[in-house]
Amino acid sequence: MYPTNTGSIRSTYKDAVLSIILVALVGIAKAQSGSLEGLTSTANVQKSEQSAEQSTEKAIAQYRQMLQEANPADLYVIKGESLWNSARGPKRRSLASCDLGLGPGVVKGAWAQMPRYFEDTQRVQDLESRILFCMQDIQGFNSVDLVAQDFNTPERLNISLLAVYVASESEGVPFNVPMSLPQEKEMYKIGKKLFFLRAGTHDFSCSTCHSETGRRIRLQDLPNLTTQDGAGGAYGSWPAYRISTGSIWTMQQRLSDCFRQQRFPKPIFASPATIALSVYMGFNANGSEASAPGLKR
Amino acid sequence: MNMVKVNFIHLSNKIRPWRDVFVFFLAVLLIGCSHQSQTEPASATFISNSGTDAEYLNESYLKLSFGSSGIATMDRLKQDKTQAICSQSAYEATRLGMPLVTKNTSNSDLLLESLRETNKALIFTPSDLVYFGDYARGEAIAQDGRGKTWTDSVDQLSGGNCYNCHQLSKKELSYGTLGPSLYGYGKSRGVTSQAIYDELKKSPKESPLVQYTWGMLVNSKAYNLCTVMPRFGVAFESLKGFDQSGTKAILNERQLQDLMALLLDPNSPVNRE
Repeated sequence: MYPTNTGSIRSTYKDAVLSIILVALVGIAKAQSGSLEGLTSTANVQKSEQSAEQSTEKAIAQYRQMLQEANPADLYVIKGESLWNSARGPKRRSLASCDLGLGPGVVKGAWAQMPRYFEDTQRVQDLESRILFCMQDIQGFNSVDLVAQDFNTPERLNISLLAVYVASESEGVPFNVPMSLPQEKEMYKIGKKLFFLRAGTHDFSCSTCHSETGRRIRLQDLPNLTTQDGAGGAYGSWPAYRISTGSIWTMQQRLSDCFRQQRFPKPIFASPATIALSVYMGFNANGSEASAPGLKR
Repeated sequence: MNMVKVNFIHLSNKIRPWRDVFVFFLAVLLIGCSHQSQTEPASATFISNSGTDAEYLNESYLKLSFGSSGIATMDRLKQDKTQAICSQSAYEATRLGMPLVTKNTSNSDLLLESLRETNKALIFTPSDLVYFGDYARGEAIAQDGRGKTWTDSVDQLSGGNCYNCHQLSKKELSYGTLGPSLYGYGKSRGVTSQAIYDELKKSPKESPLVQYTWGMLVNSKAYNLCTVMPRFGVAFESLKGFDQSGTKAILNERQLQDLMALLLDPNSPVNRE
């Protein structure tokens, strides 16, 4: 009578493996927390629902911890560092003189103070858009062409590698995203507006999923990006290695896929709106330690 | 994706005082002209079309930052009044450091009331008064999260993706918690036998439970204006093209009937132990 897997909805091998691990872990957690109570009265139903809830969360936490042991992102950091120091582009120069906000060539701790306003471009720039600027300004790459490309083209993948390297150089540094200049304040306000912008076929906004603490989508914990803890933990751990795609994703790519799921039109790489959202999240994260590169589902 | 080539980096186009002054005067002119026909309260506008107020998220800003891709066209950023007022109220709630009001809007303000009525009017009655389909198909729809993104095709049927936000059955552990648990939905509301279920099928118009459940699925905003739940049965007019069932809504009538069965059929996984 019970419908068994007629839909073939989640048919990928990875998901199957993940489900098996989770079911096993839930089993272990349930065995540890004692047997489930009978579903006889309303009180008991609620009680057992809560305990099932807790054991599921416990199992997920265990699963995450097991994954965190070895983060493949470390390999990409090394690649990114090598790219940073290589003479590349039409001008055959390295990015060693790139100014990320703390002076030319200073990488250590720079990302923890981004996005920020830059005098030379007279714009507020995030990690990726600043790297893009340095690639154009120092190495002679065409930024317009790069913006028009997809995330998985060779040179755009290089931007992700450079980003994961730069971000890793702020690991453990508390975020201190500046908010003293009018340009930075304006970007924060715009980012906040975008965060609450409900639109499209599903009436979704960023805030639909990310404005309450302790919520989940399927099994995925949803960070509350309006709080320091939530923004610090989430914004602070991108760029990250994504197990499901087997690749490095930057915050720009994370945002792009969020907007896809929001059923919005496609955000343009390094566009003002994407930077404004990072200003909103980054400033909310101030005081929390940067933890990128993260490891994600 | 046919992306417009844009330049966010070149220094040459960073300062355009003449353009800014021109745009400002144009905006003042437009505001002046449109003043007489302005019937909407200011709070019903979240995206400005003037572009002069820095705090406003204006249309040109969105055009600079997003591009149409596949079926996800720029029209989707044009908010209806419900989306606009719910964006504004959530935005203001955090600005004042108050808890979010998106989950429970009990404001009796006239505008909110009229918007709720507007949404209520969009709840249609299913053809031949058939409110119930097949719960097994409903379960598949509840699992399916595809549809309406820029990677989906226009004629593809969308899923409901109920499990993203709701617990629905005992068997499926991978469920979200953005919405309340719906496990035991029918059973806990008195649909404890096939006979009772058959009665609901026979006279659905007389059952507040059937009417409420159908209404929530078709247009949740009729009950709670700013709920995070999508309006699954309401046509999205600016959608380019119809799906293979001929609807512009997220789910078609048959899919909604299948979800009704999933929620209320005593034999469905929702109501079984």
